[in-house]
Amino acid sequence: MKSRFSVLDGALRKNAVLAEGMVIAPIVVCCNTLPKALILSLMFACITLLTVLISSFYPKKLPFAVKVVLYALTGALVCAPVSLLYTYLNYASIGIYFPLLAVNSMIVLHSELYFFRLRRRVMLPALFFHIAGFCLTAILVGLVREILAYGTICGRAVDMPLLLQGFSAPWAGFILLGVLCALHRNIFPKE
Amino acid sequence: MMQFEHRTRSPEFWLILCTICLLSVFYYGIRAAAVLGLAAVTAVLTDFFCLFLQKKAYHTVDLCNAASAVVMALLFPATIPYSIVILSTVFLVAIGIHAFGSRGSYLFPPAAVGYLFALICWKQEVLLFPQAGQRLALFGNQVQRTASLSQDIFAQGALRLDMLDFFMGAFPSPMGAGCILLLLVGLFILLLRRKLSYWAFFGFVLSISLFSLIGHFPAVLLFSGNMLLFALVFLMGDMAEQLKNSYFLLLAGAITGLVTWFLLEYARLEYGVVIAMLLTSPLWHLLAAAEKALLQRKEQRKAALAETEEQA
Repeated sequence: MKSRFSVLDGALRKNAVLAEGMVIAPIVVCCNTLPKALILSLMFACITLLTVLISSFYPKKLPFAVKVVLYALTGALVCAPVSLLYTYLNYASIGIYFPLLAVNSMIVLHSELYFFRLRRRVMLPALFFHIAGFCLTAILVGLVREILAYGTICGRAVDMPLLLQGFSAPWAGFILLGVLCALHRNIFPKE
Repeated sequence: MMQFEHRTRSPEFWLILCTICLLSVFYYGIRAAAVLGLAAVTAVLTDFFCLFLQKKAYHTVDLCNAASAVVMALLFPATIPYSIVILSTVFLVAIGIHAFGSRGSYLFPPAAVGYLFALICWKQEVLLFPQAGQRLALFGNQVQRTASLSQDIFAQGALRLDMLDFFMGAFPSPMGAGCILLLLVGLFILLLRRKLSYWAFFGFVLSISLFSLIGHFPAVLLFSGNMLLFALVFLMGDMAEQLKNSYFLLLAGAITGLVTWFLLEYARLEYGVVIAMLLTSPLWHLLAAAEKALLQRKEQRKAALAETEEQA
């Protein structure tokens, strides 16, 4: 029972972005529209899932510094096939943040400190829910920013009385993320 | 973040603020009163809500946040939509004040934060002004709006305006930044009553005056518009309050002046002083922290010396 709840926590209570403060930069910079947030989420999910799965088979006795380099290299290699999907979809552009996803802190740091200490049958759902938590946050931020800045959802206009064009800029991403983190802390206080 | 010693505003500040507000109402009619009043009321309500979330009570001292909102509203044109006033004020209070500490512990001047937010989101609405003297109704004003006098100065390199009109503020400008005569009087009062540091003021003015010698625009022209006098009266006082050392005040004022001059000269931004205040605000805090550290060291040395003398 205890391990099942800790597995689900990755999506909400221990959300990687809102609770742990990881992988903030792509959300702040890229997620100013819902299409970009969706693409970022999909790419993040593919890269992180494959990289962490492959990396879980590396010998645990290796020094931490060597393992980090190996994880980053694996992420970079995984980027190659995922970039084919990115190019094929051609839905929205996330620029340099696509290759940077290969070295996000969930792969490089959190995997070693958390995921690889779990048994594989617990690690898989935990990884899935952590990725789901990131995607949820990215989509929420992208949706809110697109509505406030452009008055659209996926390019379709909504009836907004006033547009706050500044919300498409990264500073608004920081502020919005800060507000969401505060709300998260209020709903899920730290034990 | 540094705590400001004086949490409430001084009576001189309120006097000058009220006078400028009255003049805005005289020039622009009931609409100016509505905009300023809406900013103040929105600030108080947002304050209540933010303090409620923090489980704190509302005190009289928090009314100074309403003053920041009115200062921000005075930088807007009288034709600014009410929705922009409300949203900018909410941002000013929630992010500019409470997110950074509230009750006087500001990282940036709150009025500058709110103004910059409005500028980024609604540049057209914020930078086009009606002619002074047009009595505007509460709703449905279809008046011609033009760029401010500052843009005219940048374009023509000279002040082509009657001197009386210039001093009385009878030209397109922000509601509170136009009446040069009143702002000069206010500045004079603040300096004489020591509510604005001489050194900070001197550093700021000297810096702009010296650098303008190598620029396109003489210092007099730069000070004629560009919200400089308004910023000296209403924004610099807060920042200068946290420093006591004359050299630090002079240095901070000079650097703020330099950044202001750079933005005016090369970027031709009439709101350059607001951005300069935001950019240099961390420097003021840094100097205040350095001043505090120096004072502590001085006191420790005194105490150690006194101890040594006693033992001797």
